[in-house]
Amino acid sequence: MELADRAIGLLLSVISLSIFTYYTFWVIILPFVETDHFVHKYFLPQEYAILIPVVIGVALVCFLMMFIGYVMLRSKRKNA
Amino acid sequence: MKHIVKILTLLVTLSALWVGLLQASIIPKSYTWLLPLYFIVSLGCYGLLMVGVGLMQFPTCPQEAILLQQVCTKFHSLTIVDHDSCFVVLDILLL
Repeated sequence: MELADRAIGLLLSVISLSIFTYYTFWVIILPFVETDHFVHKYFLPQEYAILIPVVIGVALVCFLMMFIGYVMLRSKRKNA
Repeated sequence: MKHIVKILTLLVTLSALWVGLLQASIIPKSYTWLLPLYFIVSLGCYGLLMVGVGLMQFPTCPQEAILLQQVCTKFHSLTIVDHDSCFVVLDILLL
């Protein structure tokens, strides 16, 4: 069982590190690179660097509020 | 109630600082939304990294698990489900 835990932990850390390096590269390093460098092919246009986290954040907040509302409604129905 | 006031004041001071830096043209205007968002994303990444590292380093204590199993089977065989003495034995084991 601890192997499964360690595998999931490793996966989580790898995902977080890759997201962090990609985003750092995108936001901080790319504006200082000339526009005809080949590396620009691998990154989306800079507007998406703002859009994608905002969309994900809004979706997360919506999901959290829906979950809280659902749990509250369910407990109210059980009490009544 | 006091805790959320503290958090809100922290947020207000940070945003005031950021707007002040922008207005004084120390930071170029194209970075308005980019840098706070970058910090938020990196904070989330850091949290996820800590969760992953903690999961990887969580100790399972296999020897204590075997001892605990022996204690539980012993008490089960005695057919006296005495919760107090079970907890006393567990405390002695853990100490």
